[in-house]
Amino acid sequence: MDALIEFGRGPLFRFAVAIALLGISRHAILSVIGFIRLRARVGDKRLAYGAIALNTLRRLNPLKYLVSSRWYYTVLSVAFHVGLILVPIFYLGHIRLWRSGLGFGWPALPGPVADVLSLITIVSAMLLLAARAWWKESRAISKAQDWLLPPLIAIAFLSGYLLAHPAQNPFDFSITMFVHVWVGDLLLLITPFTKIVHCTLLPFSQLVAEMAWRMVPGAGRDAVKTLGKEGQAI
Amino acid sequence: MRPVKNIKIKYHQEPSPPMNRPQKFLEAFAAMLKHSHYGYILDHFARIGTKCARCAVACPVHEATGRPEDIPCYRSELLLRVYRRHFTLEGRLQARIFGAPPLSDEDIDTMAEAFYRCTACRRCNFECPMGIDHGMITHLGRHILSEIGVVPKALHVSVREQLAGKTGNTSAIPLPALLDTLSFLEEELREQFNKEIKFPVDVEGAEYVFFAPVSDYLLEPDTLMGQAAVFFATGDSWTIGTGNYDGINYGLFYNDRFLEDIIKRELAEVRRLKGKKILIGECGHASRAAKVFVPAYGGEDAPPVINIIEYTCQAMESGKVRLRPDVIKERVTYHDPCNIARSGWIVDQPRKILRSFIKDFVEMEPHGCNNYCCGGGSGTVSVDEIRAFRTSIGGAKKAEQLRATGAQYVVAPCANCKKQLREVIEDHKLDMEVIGLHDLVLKAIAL
Ligand code: SF4
Repeated sequence: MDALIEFGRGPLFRFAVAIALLGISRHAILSVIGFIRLRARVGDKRLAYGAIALNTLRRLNPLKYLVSSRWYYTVLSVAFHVGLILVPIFYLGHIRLWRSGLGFGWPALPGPVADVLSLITIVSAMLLLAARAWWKESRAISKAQDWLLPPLIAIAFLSGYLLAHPAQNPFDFSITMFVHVWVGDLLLLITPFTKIVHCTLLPFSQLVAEMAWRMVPGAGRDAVKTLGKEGQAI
Repeated sequence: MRPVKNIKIKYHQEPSPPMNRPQKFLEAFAAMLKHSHYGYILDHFARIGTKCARCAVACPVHEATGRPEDIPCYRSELLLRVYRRHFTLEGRLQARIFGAPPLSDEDIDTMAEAFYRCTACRRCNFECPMGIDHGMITHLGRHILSEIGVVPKALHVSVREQLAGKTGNTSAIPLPALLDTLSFLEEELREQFNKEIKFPVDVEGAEYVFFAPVSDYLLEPDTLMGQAAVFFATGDSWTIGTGNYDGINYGLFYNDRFLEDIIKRELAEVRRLKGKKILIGECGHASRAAKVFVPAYGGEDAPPVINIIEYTCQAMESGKVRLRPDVIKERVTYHDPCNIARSGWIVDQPRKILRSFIKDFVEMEPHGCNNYCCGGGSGTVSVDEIRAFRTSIGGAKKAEQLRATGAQYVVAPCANCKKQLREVIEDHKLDMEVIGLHDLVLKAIAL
């Protein structure tokens, strides 16, 4: 077990971080390159970058989504994401690990804050899952990853919380550590290939939406040529 | 709102001669990805969706039926799934490993129905935290389907007449009939105002070249006379071109190459007449098509595009047009056509005009950018076979909104919305009348 934990904390972790970082960077770079290439081809090149940036911020503002019949979904989603983003990066135990590997660290969240955020993430992940199962609309459009990711994230956070509070941990320390490390690694590994990738694509969404109706002149006709259907009557 | 009984719609033509539809669909999809801008957009949308189902609460069609199949994200997934499965490395690999089935004939039928149940009103766009534009996906889905011959007959026939027919317009109005109509309208105006109010034709160098939705020349004389009266009051030069007098662009609803051809015909007419600006009449989609795609297809020197409501509002604010406040006593409400309101382009101007002379003006809730579609958007209004679907499902929410206003007049500055709302009112037995904005202007203008 110890060897597995060490492997998970060492080579596998480094590999998982590399995959996650390379994967999300690839998406970010392709989003930028794709945009530059597309802009050169579209007919209408005028773009109000300021307005797009403002729109991006507006869309990221969760308050915008509170005035809807699904306001509770927004509350849950925000609660879920705050801990999800902050705890893995700013939890003291994680920073120590980073420091030992990278040689530098950064300020940590106070322990009780990290605890509360972790618990909120765990509870909201489970409530989001319950909501997905409850609403027939969400059920109808859900795929495997939509069902699997919230429990996986909850397990990673719960095991982390129990490791930080050994007195409350009913499980064996090594098993808890194994689960925490390996589930954490798994989440990093699948980041670029699942919907978690929205962490890097979301800032591009309004730019992409802005390009959604920017036609390339002649595209329809060129497609018809490729299909060998030129000259066909309408 | 209580769920309404679903009505299945089947109205499109089938490819002729019969073909292997899935294979042809994939070929058309591949060709579009190669030449158009859609690849970049789809790649983003296909990865970013989190399946939160927030869009479900925004869609009037889903609100009416409650069917999962009418959730915007569900519908978009039909096309995104094909994209992932057939056009991404991950999708092809996954299909190899897990044996995902390829596109089937049944999938094509499902998409054909789904993409014509959506009115491309883009209301769901606001609700999606990920910024997915479901209306665009509907648009692309329809385009690919149309390239394999799956397209509603009504749209197909109209576009064929506009681009390849004798009359060159969607209502098949021959030029002599148009000229007759114009002189009849001038006579009417003379009787009403005792003034020589003209519909100028083929005036070279005019400031505005006017494109009405051509059906107005058959169905909406008051709208047209109101617009002519505004021009009489401002004294600006404007003209109708005899080479092309139809602003309708059904290409926007189903096929990009026709969308482009129709825009180019508009541009050719403006250039022939050496006009300076394109002026679109009371029509949502015609206005959006010109506003968005004239710069896309018209090159660097593309003329500016304005909508008649913008024009009248400016004329009113500059004091050139005066509207008498004592004429309209009835309660009036305003329906925002999605194609001009969703982007926020034309939301305030009609309200400024209406509030200036109508005492009892009431709003529907919600309105403006967040309005509900009339239920006949994206060309579905011209498909008579689906009237029951349009009015009892697509237009259910609108009927509820209209009823709540208690208005006598609903102003709808769009040829398509006018037709759809008249049918909604009839089928829901509402006691109100649909009217154009310039119809009211005509009643109230002081000349
Ligand atoms: S575009 Fe309109 S009709 Fe289509 S899915 Fe979105 S809200 Fe529904």
